[in-house]
Amino acid sequence: MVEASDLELVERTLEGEHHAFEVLVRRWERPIFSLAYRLSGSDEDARDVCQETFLAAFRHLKSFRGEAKFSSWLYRIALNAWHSRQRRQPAESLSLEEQAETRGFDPPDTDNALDERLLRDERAQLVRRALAALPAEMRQVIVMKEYEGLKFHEIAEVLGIPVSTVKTRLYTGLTLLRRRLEGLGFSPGKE
Amino acid sequence: MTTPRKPATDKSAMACDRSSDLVAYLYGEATPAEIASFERHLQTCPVCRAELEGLQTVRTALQSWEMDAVAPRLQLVIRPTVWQAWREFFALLPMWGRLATGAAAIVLVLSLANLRLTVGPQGVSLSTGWLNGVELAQAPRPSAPAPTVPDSLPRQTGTSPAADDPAFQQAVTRLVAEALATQPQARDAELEARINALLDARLKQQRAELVRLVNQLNREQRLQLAAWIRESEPRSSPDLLDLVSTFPVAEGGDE
Repeated sequence: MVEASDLELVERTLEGEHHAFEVLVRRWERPIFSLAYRLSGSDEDARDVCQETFLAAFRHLKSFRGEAKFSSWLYRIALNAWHSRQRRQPAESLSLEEQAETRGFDPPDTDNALDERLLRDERAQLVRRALAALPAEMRQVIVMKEYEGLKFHEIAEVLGIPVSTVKTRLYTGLTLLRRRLEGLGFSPGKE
Repeated sequence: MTTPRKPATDKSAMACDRSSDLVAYLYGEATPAEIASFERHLQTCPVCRAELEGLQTVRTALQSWEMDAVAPRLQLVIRPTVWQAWREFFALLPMWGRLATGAAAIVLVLSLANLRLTVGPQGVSLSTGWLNGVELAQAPRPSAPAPTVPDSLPRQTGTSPAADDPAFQQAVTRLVAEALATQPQARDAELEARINALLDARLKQQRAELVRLVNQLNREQRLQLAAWIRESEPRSSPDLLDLVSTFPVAEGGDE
C-alpha cells in the first residue's frame, strides 16, 4: 500500500480528518526532535520545541500552500520555536556558551581509559560544547547538514536564503568549530 | 565572537577563494564537472588540501556525537469541532450504519415539521403542522344557522370560501407543497400572502355568483338572505356586508 504524501495528509487534515495530522506527527517527530536536540543540547528543551512545533503547524496549517516541502515548512517552524525559547532563556544560553569557552577539555588518559564508551562520551561532550558556542546562524546550518542530512538547497529553502549563503555559513562555521575543537584539546590523533 | 572570515588557515581560503567549491566537494554535492575541476586544483594547491583535510576531521568529530536522546511520542490533544467530530464519526460507520443514521436524520426533520401520517378508510394521507395552521386561520366556520333557501339555489352559496371546493383545496395544497421547498422564514410570509390573494380572487368570484343568484330570488328570500349575511359574515368576510346594500329589497326593508 502506497503511503500518503505529506501534502495529501495536510489536505485531509484541513478537511477535518485529525487522524491524518497524527500520521504527519508520527512521520516527522523524530527528525524535528533530533534537530531541536542538536541545537539546544537539552532533552527537555527539545521536547518542548517539538511540541510547540507541531501545535503551531496544526494551528497554521491553512497557511501551508504546498509551495515548499512540508518538511521544510516544519523545520522552519521548529527553528522559530527554538529561537523563541532562546530569547526567553538568554541567561541559560549564555552560560552554556560561557561553559564552552572557559571549561576546556581534559584529555583522557588513554593508558587508563579502558572504557572506550567513556572516551566516546567525552568526545561527544566536547563537540556539544563547541557547537553550543557557535553563533546560531552557523549552528543551525551545521546541524541541518551534518545531523539531518539536508541538501544545500533544502537548507536554503528552510532558512529562506540563497544556496551560496548556506555554503558560506557552513564553511565559516566548520572553520570556527575546528579552531574551537583544537582549542579545547580535541586533536585528530584521538579519533 | 570572532569574525567568520578569520579561520586558522585564513590564507588558504582567501588566497584561493574556492570555499564554495570546497564545501560542495566535502559534502558530495558538486557536479561531476565541479569535482574534476576541484580535484585538479587540489593537485596544485597544498593549502586547499590542508583545508579539506582539516574540515574532514571536523566532520568526523561531529559524527562522534551520536544521538543519545530518545524522541518522545508526542500526544497532541486536538479538540475537534462538533461538525468535525460528526464527520469523523460518520466516516467510521459501516454502510448500514450510515443508512440508519440518514434515516434517523430524515425522521427527525419530519417530526420537526410536525408531519402527520393518517391511515384511515379514505386511504393514507400526509399533512404538516404548517398546512393545519393555514386551514385554521383561513377557514372559520359560521356559528349562525344557514337560512332556508330554495332547492333551486346551489348549496355552496352559504359556505365559507374554502370549504367543499376541491379546486381551492388543490390550489392551497400546491402552495403549501411549494412553500415546504423554500426556507422557513420566507416561506410563512410568502405562503400567507399567496393564500390571501387566492382567497380574494375566490371571494370576488363568489360575490359575482351571489349577485347573479340574488337576482333570481323573490323579495322575502332576499330579506332572509340579507339578515343571515349581517349576522354570520362579519367574522370572515366584512366585504360581503357591502353586498347587502346592493340588494334592491334590503334597502328600507325589515332590518
